Amino acid sequence: MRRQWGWGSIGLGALLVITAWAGPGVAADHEGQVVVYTAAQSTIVQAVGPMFEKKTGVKVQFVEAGTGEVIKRAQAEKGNPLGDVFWALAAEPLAANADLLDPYTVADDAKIDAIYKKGMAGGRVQPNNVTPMVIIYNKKLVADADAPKSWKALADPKWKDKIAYAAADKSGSSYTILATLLTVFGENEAGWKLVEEIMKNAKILPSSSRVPKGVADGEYHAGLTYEDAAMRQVAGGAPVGVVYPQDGTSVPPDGNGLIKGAKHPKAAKLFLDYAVSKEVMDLLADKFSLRSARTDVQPPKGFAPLGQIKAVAYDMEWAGKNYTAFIKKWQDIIVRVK
Amino acid sequence: MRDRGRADIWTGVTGIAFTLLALLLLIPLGRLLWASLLAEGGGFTLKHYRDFLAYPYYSRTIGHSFLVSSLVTAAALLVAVPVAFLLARVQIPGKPLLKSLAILPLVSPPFIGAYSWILLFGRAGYVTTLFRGFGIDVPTVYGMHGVVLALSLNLYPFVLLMVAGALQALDQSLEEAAQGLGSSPWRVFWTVTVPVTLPSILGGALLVFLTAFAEFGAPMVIGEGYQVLPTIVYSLFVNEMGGNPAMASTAATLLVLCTTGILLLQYWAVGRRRYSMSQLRPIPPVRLRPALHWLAVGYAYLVVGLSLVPAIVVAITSFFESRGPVLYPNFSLGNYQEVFFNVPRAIVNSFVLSSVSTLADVLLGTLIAYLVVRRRSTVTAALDSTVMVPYAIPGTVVGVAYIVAFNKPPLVLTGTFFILLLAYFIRRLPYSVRAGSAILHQIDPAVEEASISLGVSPLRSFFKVTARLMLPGIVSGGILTWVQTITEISATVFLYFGAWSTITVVIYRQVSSSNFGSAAAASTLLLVAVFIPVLLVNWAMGERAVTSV
Repeated sequence: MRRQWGWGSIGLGALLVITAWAGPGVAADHEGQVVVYTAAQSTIVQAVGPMFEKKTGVKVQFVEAGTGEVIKRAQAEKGNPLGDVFWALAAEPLAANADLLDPYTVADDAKIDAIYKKGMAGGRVQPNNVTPMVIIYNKKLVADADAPKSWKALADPKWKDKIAYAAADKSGSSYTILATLLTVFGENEAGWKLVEEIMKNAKILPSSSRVPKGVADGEYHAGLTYEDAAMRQVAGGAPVGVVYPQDGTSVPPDGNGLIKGAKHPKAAKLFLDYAVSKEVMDLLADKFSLRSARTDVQPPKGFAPLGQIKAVAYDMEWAGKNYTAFIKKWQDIIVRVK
Repeated sequence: MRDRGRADIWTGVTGIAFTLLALLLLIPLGRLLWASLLAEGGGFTLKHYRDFLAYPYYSRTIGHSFLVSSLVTAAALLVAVPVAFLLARVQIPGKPLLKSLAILPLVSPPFIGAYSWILLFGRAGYVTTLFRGFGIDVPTVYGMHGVVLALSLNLYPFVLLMVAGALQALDQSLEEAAQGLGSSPWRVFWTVTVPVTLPSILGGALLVFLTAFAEFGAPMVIGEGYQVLPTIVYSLFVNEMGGNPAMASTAATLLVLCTTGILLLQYWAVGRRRYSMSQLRPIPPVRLRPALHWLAVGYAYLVVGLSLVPAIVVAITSFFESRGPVLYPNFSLGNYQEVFFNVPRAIVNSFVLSSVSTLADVLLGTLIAYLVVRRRSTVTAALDSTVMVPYAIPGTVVGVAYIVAFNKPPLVLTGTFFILLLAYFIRRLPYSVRAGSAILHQIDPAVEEASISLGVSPLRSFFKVTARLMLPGIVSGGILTWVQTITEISATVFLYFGAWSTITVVIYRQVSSSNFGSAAAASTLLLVAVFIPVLLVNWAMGERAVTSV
């Protein structure tokens, strides 16, 4: 008797589990769950995840790691993909790994600024948020008037050992800065010479997050970094100032993408649509200092309107194609000057 | 006496050990390392090695690695051996607490522990600023010497644990005999105590050297551009733009070759000196003359205290107020609220995963240690050096190799907790083997042989006699394994999935999101969660627990 009851309850339990699992999937046109590989900040993940689940009824699982680790993971899993979606990864490396992606056009595609769709592996990568490369400086150590106003100013020997730069071979955003410098200075001997002068002055840090942190803490006078990381220090009340270089800067996007061979493609597309929806983008701008790639979302408080930032014609495809060569040259410089 | 050619239960154990190593180590990693020998068009080539060595950006890191590891090992020995002697031989108040505290440096995840040194001794560090106020310029912590400082204070517990364990296992009669024969205490120390504990000293030194050699956290955080081999391996492997897989394999293979070389050297060195005894009466701790007593107590507490600085800084920081990435020195529980939602589950995950894999490590590790020490042959020597290979391989490489190996039939383990268990098991197996073999070197085989000759089966004799004598060493190896497993991050970040996120993943993500406050809160919870069981074990084992820390 008892045993029968036991088996019965297991059977009933299993039935309940199956129904619960299949429940939303039967009614709605999706697989009921989605696995998201993301480099977004943990706080953003914790905010957006529940919102998405509530909105769509899709259960979302996140795998959080840095852009490099996420991509490496997906490369290794290529034969049997475990993730469905990339969310908020640096777009440049994502575009360089377009063979991991299936094309997809998000529902709100018309609202995404066309500038950011260039060099995105033919639409395989969808722009999420965008972030200009900037100079951050510590106001206690550098008077506003003396702050470096351009990339070129950082080549001045007076900054020797006082500026921070993340290693270009470790950090994706740091590579973007290197390629931006070459776009501004020119990819020629003179341009590389200026890069070398800047590297002579720079302390090389292992990750991009260390640059704004180190400048805010007063470990370095100034640093080469990206806008939202710098502005979060400003918002937190750190004694730092942010300079949009007068000689021009790049405004690369972070991107999303549909993983090729995704096991939950329908739910994945729902997530990709939701990630760039006005609802999420407004939240990211208000609470997390992220500048949207959408044309109908205001920049976060205190951010300069894009029109006031001098942008250079930054070619992501060129930067991606020359990655190995530029990194080699950069490493040679480091060996020479360090 | 012993028939070496005889096939007994130990032959079976050897077979099982080799099978496990082949399945979990050689096959997954072999292919990855093999890639370093393949030419682009097919066929074999040494080109990648020539390129690596000809390119100073890479090749100079080999020298850096040897220099850093040697200095760290020397410093760790200098600091830890005296403390181990004091803990084993001298009455020191609060010993169980001190012993438990001494293990905490191993718990502090390197990427946040090392950051504490910057908070104190960076250019704008608290201590640096304080001294600058007095007109004194303290050198900053950045660069090679900072890496050495952070790593030696992080890793000295390895030596402390193993040497204290060995001293505890020392039998009273040995030193008494020497004294009875008229030797001065000093002479007894140098001619009896030191030689007998030397295998453990060397074993601890080896663990420190190898860990320092494979460590990339501290060099990344405070090296400020001072690169070592593992940081190169890391940047070549986790390269956002794809990079150069053959060069990545080459760097990883060189790392393995270096560490295997060191291991063989140590094997040869210890192999020539073997002392064994039957430990029946452990030596009771003495009480020193008051002046010496307080000097000893002061030294022991100073060393442990210094090594706890990173943990203390992290704990204090965790109560600071956070506004975004910026910390303010006002008391606040905000950081704890921030992590409260995912930390309890993550800590449970970490506990379950590391406890299960530690149990497996201790079981197999002890058996392997026995084979390596008691059944010395070419086969078991090969087993010994194979077992140590995971020690030399960065977790990043293990993580990537495991995905490639276990993401397709016949064995699909990705996306389950099982793959984490296996990765932990294989990565931390060396600790149990080293701890077990160090203690075995001191135990006289005669007791076990007597048991066997009385008709008790070899395996039963092992568990009834030898394993019991080994217990102090096994426990200390087990604690090391457990603590090192629970703080694993570099393989975890590639292998964890969904609900099996560990506490280190939470900390790592908070650090990379620049939420240092929340990272400190999660780290503090981890420290407390690890400290309590270690303290309980030490108290439960009483005076015997010198061995367990």
